[in-house]
Amino acid sequence: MRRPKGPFQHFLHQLFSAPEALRLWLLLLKVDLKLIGQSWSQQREWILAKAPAGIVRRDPSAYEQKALERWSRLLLTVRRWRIRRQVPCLALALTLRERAQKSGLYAELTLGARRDGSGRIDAHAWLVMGTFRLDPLATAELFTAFHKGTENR
Amino acid sequence: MLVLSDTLSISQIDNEAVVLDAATGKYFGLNPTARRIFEVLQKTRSEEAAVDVLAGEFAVDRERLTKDVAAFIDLLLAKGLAHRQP
Repeated sequence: MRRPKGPFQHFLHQLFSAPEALRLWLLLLKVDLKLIGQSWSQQREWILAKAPAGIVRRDPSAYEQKALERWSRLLLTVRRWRIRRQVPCLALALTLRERAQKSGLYAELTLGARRDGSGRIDAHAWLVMGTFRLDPLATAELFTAFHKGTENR
Repeated sequence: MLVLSDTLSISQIDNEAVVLDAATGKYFGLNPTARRIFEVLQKTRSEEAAVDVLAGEFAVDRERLTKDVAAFIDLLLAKGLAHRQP
């Protein structure tokens, strides 16, 4: 996305982004509080929810992709005003999924794993819409997605 | 018959694998041997049949293999990742 060049354009950009940023921050707060306050078994259905029946898995249009990427960038900005030491990737992905759904876009949560430098298993969460991958932290390519069965996707 | 939980998902990392249990949100690392036993159990759903398949792949005596597969199955059962069905 093209960045605003001058200070005035930058100010305008910030001004117009403010309502969306606030919306995302509130959504992130709601999602994070839910993750903190409830056990996995209480959250499982919500976290692993699939798109409703009848929703065709498709790539986002160029316009939708721009919107998704914009929300992703804003989410990285607003996560600075967090309620805990670190906002987990799961909270970011779920917030983005909720935001997308509010605009009628159904992205699916994907979980992946890898071995980190010290040999420990590390997990990550990101979103997928068709073949389009949306990951605010941009580290998804380092992880192998979980899937049913034994074949890798 | 041994039935692996349908809440399990697997992620393959090189020769190893990580199994995620969606029921508990926990994940488990499998070394290459455990991964292979897991894959064979997914297909055969039987301890004896799994030992038959694995005997052709690993250069160990059958008794040792049977013990190892049984120990792995006990672990799966203890972690709630599988259950036995009559």
